[in-house]
Amino acid sequence: MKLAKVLASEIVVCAGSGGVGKTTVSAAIALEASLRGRSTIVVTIDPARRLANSLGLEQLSNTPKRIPKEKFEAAGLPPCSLDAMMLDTKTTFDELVIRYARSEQKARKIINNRFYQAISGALSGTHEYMAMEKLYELSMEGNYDLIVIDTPPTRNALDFLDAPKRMTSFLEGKLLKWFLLPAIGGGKGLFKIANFAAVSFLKVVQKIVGAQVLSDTAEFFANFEGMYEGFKQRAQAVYELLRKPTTSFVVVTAPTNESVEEALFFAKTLRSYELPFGGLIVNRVLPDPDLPAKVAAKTEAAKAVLGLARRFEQIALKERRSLERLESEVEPELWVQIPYQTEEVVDLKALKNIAELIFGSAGKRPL
Amino acid sequence: MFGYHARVSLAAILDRRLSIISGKGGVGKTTLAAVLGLVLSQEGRRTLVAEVEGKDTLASMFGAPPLTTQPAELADSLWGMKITPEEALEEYFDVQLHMKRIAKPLISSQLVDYVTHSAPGLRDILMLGKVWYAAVKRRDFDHIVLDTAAAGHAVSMLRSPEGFLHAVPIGPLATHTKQVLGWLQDPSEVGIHLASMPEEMPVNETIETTRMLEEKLGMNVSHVFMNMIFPPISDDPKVEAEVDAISSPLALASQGFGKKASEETFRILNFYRKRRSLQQEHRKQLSDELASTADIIDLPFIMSDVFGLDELRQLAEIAREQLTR
Repeated sequence: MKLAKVLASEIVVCAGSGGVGKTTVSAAIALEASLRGRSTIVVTIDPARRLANSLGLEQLSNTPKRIPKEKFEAAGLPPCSLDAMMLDTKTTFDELVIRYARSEQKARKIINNRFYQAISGALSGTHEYMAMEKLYELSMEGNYDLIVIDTPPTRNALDFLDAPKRMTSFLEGKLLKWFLLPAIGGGKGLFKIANFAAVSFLKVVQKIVGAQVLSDTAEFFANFEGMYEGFKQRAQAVYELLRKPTTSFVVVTAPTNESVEEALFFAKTLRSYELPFGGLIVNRVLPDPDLPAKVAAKTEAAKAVLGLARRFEQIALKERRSLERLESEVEPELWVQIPYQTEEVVDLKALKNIAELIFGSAGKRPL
Repeated sequence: MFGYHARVSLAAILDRRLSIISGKGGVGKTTLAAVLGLVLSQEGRRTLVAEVEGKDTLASMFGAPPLTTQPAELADSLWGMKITPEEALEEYFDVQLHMKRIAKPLISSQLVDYVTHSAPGLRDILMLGKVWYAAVKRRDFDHIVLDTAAAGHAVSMLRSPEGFLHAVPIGPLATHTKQVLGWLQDPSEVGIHLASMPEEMPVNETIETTRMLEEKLGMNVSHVFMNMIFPPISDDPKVEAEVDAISSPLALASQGFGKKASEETFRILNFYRKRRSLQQEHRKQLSDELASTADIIDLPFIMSDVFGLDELRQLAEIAREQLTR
């Protein structure tokens, strides 16, 4: 079996750029593991609605939901211990603030702060950081043999790796705090501290954005003071968790040159971060062209259909060249291709089929 | 109310100063930006395609070197450039605040880099501000096509000025932001075009985005461009009907194909038919839900292993034909 380590892992992180079918692959891996008797949860960020429905997820919720027995029975599968959860980023952030704030009052102050409200939904890296946070929490609770996590769609897969660092360094706000020092030092009046560069900067900023913004921002960092350590330690713990040999990163890609190059680069970067690479999955691959070089088409209709087949052959050949590049870089047992399906993957039965195409056995050829 | 919708013609787009292209990653946003840019430039408009985050795809479609922050000619009457938050901020300090001296040290202090990378909303505002300035004040071009970020979302980008005003209610920055926001909401000046494709996720996303823009911002989507629609197998309806009648490999064998060729070709035909009918379901869902709200333009899947200027021109012609219908 290819990608064997993935099913034996305790944590599987599915990564890849947007639109390549990460959510489907995450769900298929989770289903396969649960069918093999492992108690599993899949945490998704932004699933297609019908797939979400098939997993029994109707809305964002920060609590795991068991996939009902009937869904398994309808797919002709034995009921298994498989939970699913759709991550609510904002709530996770609030929960984190409540956990690390020195007092309930401080937590409330932060959550009500305008600066916090502006950043907690929009700060880049928040989704990624919160996904990692949830992963850590689930892992510590120890209710599952396997946690499969689907990562948020990012411009490129690397954003995901750097996100927690970017976010904690923003929250640490060294640079910002230096500039804001006079404002944070508050009490004695804004501009009394003799930090000349910072004071002149603040004057400009105040002129442009108004004093309210400065005091909101300063209040936020003042309240956040002391919490940052908790955040940082937590981020570090998550990072260590991801580095454990029982974790597998699965990179999902489309069979195009661009996407394959990006996936290869990501796989390399994982190694340089010392994060365990579990395998690479190429999704929606057209089958190998197998048309004879010479075909006699007698009718207009036959010519038209042959024209279609020839064009598909061209596209398939182009995909083939991208995959050859992959072949030369990745060990054969560490990558698989999923053929382009004629149907959309919207229920457990179709997910099981995808799982079989990934992990071997009776996967059907779609065409 | 009654499904009535005043069609937005090409003439209306030509009268605008800005076309914003949005949509999820992987649905062909950059292709659409290039196609719309070609359509407008072919109508004699000096058109600039501005890319928020360059993956160099746009330039390579035109066979041009990677874009920079200076406009470069891509075709007749068509230019392309990259816009970055740093450069947008520098320009803002210079031309709006008349504080050029402050801009340089501020940008080199890395503070800007740090803040704009942390808060995508701020990046959006800076870039929208720059586009406003270029389109309304400088007017070096008749029309700007803005290709937005892949990870971004039309709603969050267009709401960024609003969110910003919540956090920064007063001061010159707030005044300027209000000005830009007012302009963005004027459909005679700015059009929003969504790129989509006939699959479940992109279609749902398009429907949701259209509704949210209407509900949260009171903005209408001008056009939805459906990319990668599988076209009929033959342009001739009579031949297409004969193709439809092919129901087994045997039918192909009787029309001259050998055994292997007929099996293989039928397999591909079958795949194409099934995916095409799935596409049509999603396409229908989009019309059912949006027909009274936005115009839908269909762009075919170009079955070719290369994609360059010829293919873009082909799509531009198809788009132009539907926009003037």
